[in-house]
Amino acid sequence: ADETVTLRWASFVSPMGATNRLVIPEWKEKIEAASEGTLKIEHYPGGTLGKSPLQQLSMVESGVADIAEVVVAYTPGRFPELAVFETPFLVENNLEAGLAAYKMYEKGLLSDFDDLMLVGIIISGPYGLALNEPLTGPEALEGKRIRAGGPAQTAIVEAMGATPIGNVPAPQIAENISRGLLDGALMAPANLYTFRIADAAFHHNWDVKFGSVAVIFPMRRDKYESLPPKAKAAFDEFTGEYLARKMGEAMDRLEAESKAKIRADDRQTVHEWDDATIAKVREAVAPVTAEWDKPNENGVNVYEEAQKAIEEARGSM
Amino acid sequence: MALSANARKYLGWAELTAAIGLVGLVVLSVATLADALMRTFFESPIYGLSDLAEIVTPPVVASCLPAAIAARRNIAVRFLGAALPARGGQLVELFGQAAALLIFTGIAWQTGLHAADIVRNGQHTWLLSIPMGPTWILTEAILIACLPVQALIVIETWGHVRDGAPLAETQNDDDPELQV
Amino acid sequence: MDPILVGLIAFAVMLGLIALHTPIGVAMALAGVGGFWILTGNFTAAVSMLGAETASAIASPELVIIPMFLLMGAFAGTSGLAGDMYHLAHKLIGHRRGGLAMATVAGCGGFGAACGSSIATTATMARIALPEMERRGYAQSLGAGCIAAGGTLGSLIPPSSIMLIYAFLTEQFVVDLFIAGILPGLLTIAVYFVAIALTVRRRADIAPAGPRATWRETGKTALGAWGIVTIILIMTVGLYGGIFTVTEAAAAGALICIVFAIARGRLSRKSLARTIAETAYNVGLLYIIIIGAHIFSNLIALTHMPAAIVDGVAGLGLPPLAVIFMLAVIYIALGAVFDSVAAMVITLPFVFPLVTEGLGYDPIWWGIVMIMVIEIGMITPPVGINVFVMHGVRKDIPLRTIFSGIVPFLGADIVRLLLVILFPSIALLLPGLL
Ligand code: NA
Ligand code: NA
Repeated sequence: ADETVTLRWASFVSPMGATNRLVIPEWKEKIEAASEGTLKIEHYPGGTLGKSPLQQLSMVESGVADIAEVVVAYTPGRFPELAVFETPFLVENNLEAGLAAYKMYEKGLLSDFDDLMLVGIIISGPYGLALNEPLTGPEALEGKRIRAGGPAQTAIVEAMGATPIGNVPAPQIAENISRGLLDGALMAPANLYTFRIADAAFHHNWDVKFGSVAVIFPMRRDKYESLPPKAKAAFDEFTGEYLARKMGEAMDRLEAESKAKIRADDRQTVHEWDDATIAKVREAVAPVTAEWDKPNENGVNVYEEAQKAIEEARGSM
Repeated sequence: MALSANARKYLGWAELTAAIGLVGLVVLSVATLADALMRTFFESPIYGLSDLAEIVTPPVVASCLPAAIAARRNIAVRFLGAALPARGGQLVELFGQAAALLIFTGIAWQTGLHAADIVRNGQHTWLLSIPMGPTWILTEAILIACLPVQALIVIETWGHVRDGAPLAETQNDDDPELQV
Repeated sequence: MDPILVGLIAFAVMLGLIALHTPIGVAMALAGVGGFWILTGNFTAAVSMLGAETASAIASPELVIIPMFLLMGAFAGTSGLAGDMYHLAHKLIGHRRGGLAMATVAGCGGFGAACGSSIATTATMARIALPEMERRGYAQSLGAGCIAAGGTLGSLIPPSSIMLIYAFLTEQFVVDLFIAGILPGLLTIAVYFVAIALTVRRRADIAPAGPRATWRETGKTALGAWGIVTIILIMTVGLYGGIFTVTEAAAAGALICIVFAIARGRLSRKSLARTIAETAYNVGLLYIIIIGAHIFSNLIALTHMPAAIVDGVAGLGLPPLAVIFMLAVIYIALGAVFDSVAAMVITLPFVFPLVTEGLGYDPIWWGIVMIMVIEIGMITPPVGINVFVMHGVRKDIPLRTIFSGIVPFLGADIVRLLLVILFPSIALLLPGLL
């Protein structure tokens, strides 16, 4: 019989995070069974193999972990194309976004994957708004201090006439809203409870689709090549598009639960904006998209490619 | 304190490095405070402050290491050496200092690979897209500068082993307030 | 090899290295890298942790608060702000029997509110308060004892380096820990007052009462203390009133202390050099410990030891409180040998999961309890760092004298520790309100 290969799956996110709780335990059993004993997955959530989000990629490259959860935005300059999903009003949900991104990877549209393979991917979002005052319309944001992560969100917040605050780590957003340092945040509805934002900001708008953030799960290609045939076969079946789909579905499920919980909570108000208002918002943030909707230095219009991939993904859902 | 002339010279350089680094920390503090005040009173925080922090922090922290090493300010427990005869105590001390040299070498080597990665991949800051390469090259240079400092301490301790100088007389604990 | 066995060997090797004078951070890194190499058979991966953890630590926007707080504490001492607080307390309660000792404890508390380290508090107050007490005929044992013990307030009353490190390593919000430390800190001052009162009642000769200060004198001293009071106010209001993040409060505190040092003309070339060196030494040794702690705890995760320990302790069927008392005794013993930060970081990978996940205790409460227990170790023989610092400042006072002066405060420490363990709300009340 083949010997068993142990793979370490590391995540700096807490064991209660969506992927660590809803996806990995079930997936681990499935792929181990399919490998007929040639694969063993060890799950290390909560940053136990390395805490800093910034070191996750190098952990995979050096072999501390075999697969890790990498937030692409933390290493600007690497995986540059995935930032296209940060543009507003591009994707509608987690599932289509994740599948589309995986299609772009398969077509070779994503750089920096020569030595790495994509085991799974999440395009988390789209982001909505959470504020400590009624979100009656876009004008409610004027002069407000809104937490934004990265260049695209910063531009979006500025386009809305609010003040972007950049240097607040996600786990500290809630504390800073409750202490008055922040008035609100751009936030994926699925994470409103994960980061305890719902305890601090009671007004929400989910009609704005303020972009999504890419999280990748890379593994070294040579590690994959070194797997015994049965393990490889299990990998081919249960990673990539399979895992992108599972992760997207889990995020959408979590988002639906989170939204339902918010709606059921008397302290919380969900503000809905009509089409005319949303059209105005779209117009205001259009320059953020324009930055992307043109050929890059390699002559590829990544925004158009992303749109194409999203269309295909919608067809395969 | 029984520092040789060489060690004193190194300590002087190391403290100058730390002083320059701490000026960087003061600059970062001024910017951080200015950002808080601008945000509170004028609702316009400084755009790209986090970029400044990203660039300044690694060399600032690294700049404190040579001084801490030169002054032998690592926290260590020195029961065994104190209980042994002079030469034995110095041998144990030599072991501890050599172990430190080994780890500092590993740190400089591996952080160098990390720095090279950042340069090669053209990583830049989040908002203003400032290249991160130079800041990590500087940081790596400071980490490498720790090595001759620690090597000198090892050589000195070897000298103490040879001379059989009592451990207590070669320990640098005159100013224990210079600790946490 | 069995992972748990590797973990146990790595732990033993780390202790052995420490016994052989290896700096604690270095010993943890060595044991961590070695154990990782043995378990994975992958040298590249094991040694890469030296780079990854160093780069993460020195670039961390959260940890940079530590250099800022250290800079603040160093300049608070240099600028004479620490003395102001003591002189005010001195004028207010110095005329009572034992009053100077109480003033010293209060001064330690006040300085502790502007300084993040118990050693810096001890060293600073030893220079300021001890000569005053000796001039008034106080016994050296009482004087030195109350400073060494009062120095621990530097860590318990926020801001506090050790709380920052605990929060960083366990992913807690440091402001919660800071707030949780306030009531236990005040409680400590209160029990120390009682300890002093009881001590001098038995032996009036060791603490003669001084003359009562006139209102005029007290008022003048109070005005002189405006600097330190302002700093404490700015930081407290800024931090808890929603103006500053922790980093910003630290930046503000550091800058104000620097401005005071300059404005008061305290910055000679020499004192500036000493202040810079002091900060640099502390930054350097803390980061080396943090890097080592991360590498070692990565190895411990790989061995799955924490889960085994949680299961093992759960299997004993002891009531949770008994486990907490057991841990307290272990920490006091560890504190006898280790420095406080070191005792905390080498045990966190096992103990934190046990207490929070295994026993279900509040992580903020446990942080406060652990810091209190470890600080007790700072004043107990044979290795009582605060006592050594005291002895370092005043070589003429024998260690035996200082340790004997500490006895009443140790009793007080045990009382307040029991109170906080039995009534967790002493620590958790304020964070819950805010
Ligand atoms: Na303090
Ligand atoms: Na002790």
